[in-house]
Amino acid sequence: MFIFFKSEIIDLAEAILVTNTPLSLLRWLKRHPSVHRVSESYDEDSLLSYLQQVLRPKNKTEMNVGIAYATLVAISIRRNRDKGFLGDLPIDSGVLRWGNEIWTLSEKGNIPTRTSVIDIPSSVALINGEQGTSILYPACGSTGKIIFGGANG
Amino acid sequence: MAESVLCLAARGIIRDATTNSVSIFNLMEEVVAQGLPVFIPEMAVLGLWRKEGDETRIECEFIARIGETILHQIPTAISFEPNSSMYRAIVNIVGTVVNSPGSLTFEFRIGGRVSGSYTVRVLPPPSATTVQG
Repeated sequence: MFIFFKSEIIDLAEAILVTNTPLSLLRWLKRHPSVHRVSESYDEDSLLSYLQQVLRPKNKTEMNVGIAYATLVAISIRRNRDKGFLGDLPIDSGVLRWGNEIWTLSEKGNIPTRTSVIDIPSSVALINGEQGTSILYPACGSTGKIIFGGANG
Repeated sequence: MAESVLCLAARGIIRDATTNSVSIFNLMEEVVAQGLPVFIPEMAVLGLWRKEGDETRIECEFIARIGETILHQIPTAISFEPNSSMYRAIVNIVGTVVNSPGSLTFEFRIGGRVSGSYTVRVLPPPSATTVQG
């Protein structure tokens, strides 16, 4: 089973050669579209099975290692999306040198966020047209203040 | 309980889905209205809390008010995940009418007590001046 394209594997191998800390590798992988594509296309069991397959060879190349880290990060994204938390590292921490650090860093950067929207009240549209409410369009001046301009008042 | 770490209002607050990092655009410091009432088309408020104790879910209320007049009020909840001691809430406000100058306050209340707040002054319109030429 191959889940990464050839061009993506070359990218991942280059990342292994360029990044020199777990944090820089994690940041690089989280920005790479292939990691998100894989996390959306495969479920956790498939990704885990693929990761074990990639880690099986005794003499690993930078391509194996790049794919392994990318798959691990894809699992973290998938698990976070499905379960809302990461839990334990899904592989033996000894088989990937930075596996534990990458997993721990993924947990730390995983601050849950709730986004709410308060929508425009329907009465505002009426006021706006008929009673001449000023409409504010911020223009940041040199003072740093937000200055709003309105038509009348 | 939850300790408030940060509360602020800006024109836009966006969370990057890839990195889970938050960006704040045009921090609101002061509103200078050319006329009243004044319509603010978009604002966003960010609240950030740190977990204190074992409670994982805390009911919370978001209120936007000018002086004592409540403009918006919605219930929300702080819900800590098992592996995170921090929690963020972003409230996007699409359209607010402010009728009078004063202090525009955004606050998160837990059990009726203010947990985090941010205040922006809404200044009265500048008085007209006559220029003779």
